[in-house]
Amino acid sequence: MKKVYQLKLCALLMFAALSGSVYAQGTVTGKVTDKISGDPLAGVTVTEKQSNKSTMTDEQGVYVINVSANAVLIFSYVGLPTLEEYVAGRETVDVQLGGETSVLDEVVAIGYAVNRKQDLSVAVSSVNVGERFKGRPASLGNILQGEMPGVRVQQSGDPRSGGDISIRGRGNRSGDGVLYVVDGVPNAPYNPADIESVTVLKDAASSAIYGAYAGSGGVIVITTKKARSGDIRIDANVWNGIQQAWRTPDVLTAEDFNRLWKDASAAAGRNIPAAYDPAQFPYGNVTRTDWVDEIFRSGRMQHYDLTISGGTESLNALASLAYDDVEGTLLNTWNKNLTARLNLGFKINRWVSLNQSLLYGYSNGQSEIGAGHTGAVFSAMAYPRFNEMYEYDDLGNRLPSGTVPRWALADGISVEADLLNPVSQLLNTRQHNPNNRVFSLSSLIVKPIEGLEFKSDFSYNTSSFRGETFTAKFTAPGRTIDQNYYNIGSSLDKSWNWENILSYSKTFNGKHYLSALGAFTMNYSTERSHNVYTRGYQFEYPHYVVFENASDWSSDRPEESIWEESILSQLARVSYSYDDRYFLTGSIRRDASSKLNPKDNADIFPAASVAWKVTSEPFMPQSDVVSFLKLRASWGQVGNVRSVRRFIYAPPYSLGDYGVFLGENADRHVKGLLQKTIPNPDLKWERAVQTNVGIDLGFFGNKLNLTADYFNKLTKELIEELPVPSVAGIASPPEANVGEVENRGFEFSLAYNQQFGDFGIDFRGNLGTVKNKVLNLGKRGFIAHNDGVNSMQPLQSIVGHSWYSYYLIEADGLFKTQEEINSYTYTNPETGETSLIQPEAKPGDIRFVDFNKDGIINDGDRQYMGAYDYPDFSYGFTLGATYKGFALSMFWQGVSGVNVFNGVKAMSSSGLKGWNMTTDILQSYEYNPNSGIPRLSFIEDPNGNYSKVSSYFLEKADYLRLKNVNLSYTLPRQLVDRLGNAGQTNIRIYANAENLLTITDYSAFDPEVGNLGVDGGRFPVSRMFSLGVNVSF
Amino acid sequence: MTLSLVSVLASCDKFLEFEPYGQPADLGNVSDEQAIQTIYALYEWQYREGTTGRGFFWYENASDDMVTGRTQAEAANIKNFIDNGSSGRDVRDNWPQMYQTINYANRILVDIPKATSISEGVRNTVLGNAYFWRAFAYLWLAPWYGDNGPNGGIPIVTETTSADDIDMPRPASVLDNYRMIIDDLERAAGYLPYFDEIPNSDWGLVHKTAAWGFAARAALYAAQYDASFYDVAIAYADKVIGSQKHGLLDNYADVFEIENNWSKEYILSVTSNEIDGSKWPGIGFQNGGFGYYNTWGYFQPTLELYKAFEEGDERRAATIVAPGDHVSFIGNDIIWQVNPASTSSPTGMTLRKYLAPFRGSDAIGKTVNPNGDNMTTDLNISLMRYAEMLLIKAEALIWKNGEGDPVAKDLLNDIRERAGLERNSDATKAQLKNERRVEFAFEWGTWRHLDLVRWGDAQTTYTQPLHGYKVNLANGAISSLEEIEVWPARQFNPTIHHVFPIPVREIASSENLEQNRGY
Repeated sequence: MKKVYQLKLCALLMFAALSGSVYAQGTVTGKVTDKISGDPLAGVTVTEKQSNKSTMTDEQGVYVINVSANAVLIFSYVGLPTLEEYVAGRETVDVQLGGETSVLDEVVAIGYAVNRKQDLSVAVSSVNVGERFKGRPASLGNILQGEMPGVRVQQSGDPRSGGDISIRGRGNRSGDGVLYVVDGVPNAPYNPADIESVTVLKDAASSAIYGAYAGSGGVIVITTKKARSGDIRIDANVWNGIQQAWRTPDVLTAEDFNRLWKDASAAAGRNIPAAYDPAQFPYGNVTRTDWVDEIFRSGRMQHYDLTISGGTESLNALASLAYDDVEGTLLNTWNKNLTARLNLGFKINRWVSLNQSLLYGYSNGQSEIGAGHTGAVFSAMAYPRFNEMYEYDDLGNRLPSGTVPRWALADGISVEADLLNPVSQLLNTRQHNPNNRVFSLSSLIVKPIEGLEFKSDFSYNTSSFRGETFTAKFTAPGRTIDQNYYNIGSSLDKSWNWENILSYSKTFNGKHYLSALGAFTMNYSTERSHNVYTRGYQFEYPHYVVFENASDWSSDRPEESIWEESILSQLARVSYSYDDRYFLTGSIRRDASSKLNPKDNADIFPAASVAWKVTSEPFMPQSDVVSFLKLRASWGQVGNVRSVRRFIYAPPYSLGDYGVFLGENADRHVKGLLQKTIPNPDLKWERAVQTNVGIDLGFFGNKLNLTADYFNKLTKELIEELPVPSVAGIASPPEANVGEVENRGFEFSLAYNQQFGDFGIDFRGNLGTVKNKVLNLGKRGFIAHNDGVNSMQPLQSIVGHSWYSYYLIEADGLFKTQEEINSYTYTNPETGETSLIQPEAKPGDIRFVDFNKDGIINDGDRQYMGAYDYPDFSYGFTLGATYKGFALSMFWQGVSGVNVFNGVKAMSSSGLKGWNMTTDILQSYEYNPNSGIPRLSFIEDPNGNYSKVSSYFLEKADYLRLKNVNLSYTLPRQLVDRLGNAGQTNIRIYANAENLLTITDYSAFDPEVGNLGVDGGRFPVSRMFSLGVNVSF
Repeated sequence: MTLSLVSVLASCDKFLEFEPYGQPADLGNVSDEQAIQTIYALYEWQYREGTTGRGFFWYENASDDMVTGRTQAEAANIKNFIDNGSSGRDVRDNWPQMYQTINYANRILVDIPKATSISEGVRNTVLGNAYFWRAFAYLWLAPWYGDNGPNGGIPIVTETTSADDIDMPRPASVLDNYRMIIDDLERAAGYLPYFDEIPNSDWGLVHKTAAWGFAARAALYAAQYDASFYDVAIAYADKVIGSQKHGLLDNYADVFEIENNWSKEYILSVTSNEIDGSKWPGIGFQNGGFGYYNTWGYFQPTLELYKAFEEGDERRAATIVAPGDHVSFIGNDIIWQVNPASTSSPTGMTLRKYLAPFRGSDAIGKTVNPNGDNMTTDLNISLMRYAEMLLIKAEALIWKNGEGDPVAKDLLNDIRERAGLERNSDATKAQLKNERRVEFAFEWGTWRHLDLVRWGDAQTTYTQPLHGYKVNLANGAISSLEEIEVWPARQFNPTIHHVFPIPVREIASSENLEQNRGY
C-alpha cells in the first residue's frame, strides 16, 4: 500500500513538472485611489508578497509591476490600512485604499499558500491584527478570544498563561490539539507584537494539508510582519498600564463569623470552640485584616516594541525587538518577555532567492501558587480575619502570623483551618523560570520557470528551560511547612523541521486556473530533562539558597527523562477554478509517526472542497443588494496520535513511582521493576472526519457581509484507554482505538462597515455553537474523572453525553418544615415498608432527588447535567467608529447557556475546619428562610448539604464582557509632516481598557473558570488600563 | 526523480524508530540484581494512601470502635451501609492496587523460573516473595468482598491464566480464595528464610514465619464457612509459636514505640520513615494538629470501645486519649479537651496508639515527615504481630472444642497478663471476642467489623447508636462529662451488608465481574 502510494505521489509531482510550459512574467498594472476622496494616491508601495519585489505609484497613482499570475500584491501607504490583493491571473488590478474594505477582499494564509477569502471553498476565520490590538496584552488568547465563531479561548489573570484555545469542540478527551503554524513553520516561536494576521483553519479540508503534527483540532496560521524593499522604516510602539482584579469576594468579619458560630453551636447543643467564643478569646472578636485585599494588588504592565525594516531589490531586512514586563494582580506573580528577531531576504538572481530569519526569545516569571483549598486565592477568603498580618517576637523580629497569634496558641486557642497564611504563601515561594529560545529558519526559493516554484524550508528550534522553585518554611500556627524545599528542573528541547514543496500554478485561456503542489516533510524533536529536589536549608536568604547549603539531598531521587519523536509526511494538493465561478480543491496527505508500531505507523488522510460563486454567474443580474453569494462544501480527514504514549507498541519496563524503604533504619530506598501497561502493537491513527457546509453573502456592495457554517466532526477510532478487566492488574491500561465522538455546530459571522464623509462605522460580530456527544467508548461504560475540588469530583463521561459532563445529585430546594421531610418517603415495592428518604434532614437542609428510586440518597442518584465546555453559544462583537484622526472601538465577548460547578461556594459556605465564609451565608436558612441557602452546616452536616456532590453548587455562569475599549487619535498629517519626512511619518496615541465591564450572575470570582468548569478559586481575569503611543517614520 | 524520492522514503523508515531510555523492554537476560528489583514492585502498595493511609479503615469505620472525625458524606454512606460502590473515597484503590500486586507476582512466577543466569538463593527469595504477596493481596481483599455464596469469592488470576481468560468470573465460594492463599503461603514458607537469617539492610522483606502467620489468619477467616479450617489455623499458629522466633513484649505500650519496630513481637510491618511510608500515624489525630503539624482528624474512638476495656487494663491508656489526659505532641503538652479547650474529635477522645513519633519537640523532620500532606513517621505500621497468633489459636480452640478450653485459657491469660490484668479468663466466646477487640483496636488486618460479621454479631451491634463524651469546663478544668450520641443506630442487613460493594469502576471495566447482591 505504502509503495503504491509513494508512486502515486511521485507521479503527481512528475505531472506537475512536465506539464509546466514556459510562461513569461506577467505585467500587472493598475491605479491606486483614495477610497474616500477618490483622488489618486502617489507614493504607494506595491510589493509582491512572495518575492518582495516592489514598486511605487506615480503622481497619477499608477503602478506597473512584473509578477507571476498567482501573486499577492501588498499596497501600503502610511496612515492607511495595508491592503493585500490576489492577482489571480488578472492584468489590471485597481485598488482603493482607506475607508471601508470588505472582509471578502482580505487575503488569508491557508496551508502552504495564500488565497483571497472570497475564493475559498473551506471554512476559515481570520483576524488582521491592526491598530485596535495595540495596547492590549500581547497574547494569542487575547487576539482570538471572541473574534471568531468556533474558536474558544479561556483566560485567567495569571501573567504566565496565554489562554487555552480550542477549535470546534473536543473529539479526544485530552483535547484534539491545535497546531500553530508561524510563517509556514509548525510550532515555531513568534513575537506576539509581530503578528500581522491570524487565520484559523477550522474544517478538515483546510487543516488536513497540515495533517497530524498536533492533532485534529484545527490549525492556527500566524503571519508575521516581513521585510520590504524600500526606504528604512521605523515603527515604535510603547504602552504602559495597570491591572487589577475586576471583582473580589466579600467575606465575613470576625464579629459576624463568631456570631454565626455562637448561633450554630447553640442550635446543635455544642460548646463553642474557644477560638470563636468572645468570652474565652476576646481578641478573636475584632476584624484586623482583609486577606483578600492583601493578596491582590495593582500590577503595572509595560510594553515596548521597535521594528526597523527596509532594503533594496536584492537585499531586504527587518529587525524587531519587543519587551513586556507584567506584574500580576496577585502578589509576587509576574512575567517578563523579550523577543528579538532578524529577517533577511536575499535575491540572488532572477529565479533564486534565499531568506534567513533568526529569533531569540527570553521569558521568566512566577505564576499563581496552588489551587483549590490549598491555593492562596481560597486561603485569603477563608483565613481568620482577627489576626494581624504580622506579629513580633520578644526580640522585635517581625514574623508572619498564623491562624491565631502565637501567644494565643500557647494559651490553648487554636483554629483547625488547614490553611497557609495566603500572603506568606505567595511571598514565601520564589520561582525563577528562565526560558531561552533560539529559532532559525532558512528558506530557499527557486522559480525556474513561470508558475513553478520549489521551496525548501529548514528550521531549527531549541529552547532551554530552567524552573527553580524555593518554598520557604512556614511555622506559624495553622497549616505549616516544616521543611523548606528547593528544586531545579531543567529541560533542553530541540526540534528540526524540513519541508520541501514543489508548486505550480497557471491560468489557461484566462478562465481555467490550476494550481498544484506536492511536498515532503520531516520533523524530529527531542527533549532531555531532569529534576533535582533538595531540602532543609538553614538559611532562607536568597543568596544562600544554593544546593551546597541543603542538608538533605537524598530523600528525593534526581529524575531524568529523555525522549525522541519523529514524523514523516508527504502531501499533495490540486486546486482548480473556472471563470471565478467554480472552485475545486482536493488534497491528500500521508503521515507516519514514531509513536506507532514501526510495522504500521502510517495512514492516509484525504480532503476535498468545492465552492460556487453564484454572483459570478452570467445569469445573475448585477445587484447592489446581494452583491456576493458563494456556497461552499468541504469534507476531510485528519489524524491524531497526540494522546498516545511513546512505545505503546512495545512498552519498556519502568521503575515504580514510589519505591519502599528497607532495612533496620528504613534507610535503603529501593524501587521495583515493573510494567505499568501492556503492549498494543495494533494501535492506529485516530481519525477526525469533518464535513462542513457554508455560505458567504455580501450585501450593498459588500459593505455588509455574512458567513454561516455548519460542521459535523466525527472522531473515529478514538484513542482512549483500553477497558482492561480490573483483575488483570494493569496499573495504566494501554491506549487503543475504542470509540467515537461527535462535535457539531453552527457558526455565524457578520461584518458591516460604512463611511459617511469623515465619519466611519464598523461592526463585526460572530456567534458559534458546539454540541459534543460521546457516541461510543468501546466496552468501557463510563469514565469517572478525578478533577475536582476539596474531595468533590463532579465530572464523569459516558456514551450519550458530552465529555466531562457534570454528574451530580439533583438538589431540589430546601425543606422548609419537618412535615416536608416526613412526607418525603419511599415505599419498598417488595416489602411495602415505607421509610424516610432523608431521615437525618432538618428544616433548612437540601432536599435531594432520589433519582434511582431506591429510597436512599447516595451516588446512585447522580445524573448527567451538561458540560461546561459546550455552552449553548458563545459570541463576540466589535463596534468601531472613526472620525478624522479619532478611532474608537469596543469589543464585547460572552458565552450563554453554561454552568459552572462552584467549588468555591462548597468551600466558602461550609465553614468546614473553621474556614471563614462569604457574606451570603448571612442569609442562610436560619436568618432568611427564603434565600435558598441551607442552614449553617459547620458544626455538623448530617444531611451532606456541603459534602454531597449536588447540583446546589451548579451555577449559571453566562457572561457578557466588555473585553476591550480602545480610543486612539492619529495626529493630523499637516502636523506630523513638519516633524519628519513628508508623507512618511505617523503618530498615534491611544488609550485602552481591558475587561472594563462584566455582566454575569455568577457569584464566585470570575465566570471564566476554565478547568472543565470546576471552580476551585481561580486567578481571576484582570481589569486593565493602558496608555500608549505608536510612532512610525 | 521517482527513484530518488522512493529511496529517500525508504531510508526514512529508520527515521521513525527509536530505542527507549531508562529500562529494558523485556527481562530476557535478567541478572540477580534485576531479579531482586522485580520483587520490590510487590511492596509498592504499602506506601499508598488508599491502602495503608486510610485504606480499608473506611470500611472498618463501620464498626462500633470508631466514627469519622470529619464531615464526609461518602464516609457516612459507607458507615451507614448505603454506599453502592461508587464512593470516591480512596478505599476503592485497594482493589486495583492488590490486583496489580497479583499481576506483578504472576509475571515473576512466569519469568523467573525461565531465567537461567540467576543464583539459587535469589531465585528462592524472588519466588518466595511472589507467592507470599500474591496470597497477601488476595487475603487483603477477599474478606471484604467475598462470601460462601450467594456472591462467591473474588476472581482468581494466576500465572497460568491466559490473557484471553483474564476476565475471570468470581469463584463459587471465597473458600476457593482461602485455599489458594494458604497453598501459596505454604509454598512461600518453603522458599523464604527466617527473619533472623535476613541481613539488617533487607529487613522489611517477608520471611518464613510471616507466611505461616498469614496462613493462620486466612484459615481463621475460612473457618467461618468451614469449621475444618480451625485445625489449619491452629497448625499454622503453632508453627509460628513453635519456631521460637517470636514472643510478647513485656509492656503493651512498648509495642508502638519506634525502637520496637523489629522486636520479637514483630511479624510483618509496613516499613516507614520520615520520608515515606504509611501515613496512618497522622490520620487519626486532631485535624490540623492544633497548628503544630498537619494531622488529619479522621477515625476517632467511641465510648463503646473505651468501655470495652476492663478497669486496670493498661491497653486502654496505650490506645485512647480521654478527656483530661495529657498527650505530648511536637513537644507541646496537650491536656485533651482542656487545653486546647476543644478538639475536632466528635467523641471527645482520640487515638494514642500511633502518636509515639510525634512526641518530641524536634519530631518534625526527625521522626515525622516534614510534609504534612504525607504524614509518615519512623514508626512502622504493624500488619501482623505475635499476639495475633495466640488469639487466633485461642479462638480456633474455643470454637472447635468449646468454651473453657484449657490451652485457650492459657493463651488468653498470657495476653491479659501482659496488659496488667489477672490471669482469670474462662476462655468463653465473649471473652475471646472482647480480648481480640481491645488488643487490636485500630490495627491493620485484625478488623473489628469483619470479626463482628464473622461472629454474626454485626446486626445487633449496629442497631445500637454510638457515643462519645461532651466535655463541660469550668475555670479551665473539666467540671463534668456528658455521654452524647455521636452516631445514630444503623440498618445492617446481614444478607447484604456482610460484604461491601465492589468499587463500581471495577465492575464497569469487566464483563464478567458481578457486583455483590443487593448493591
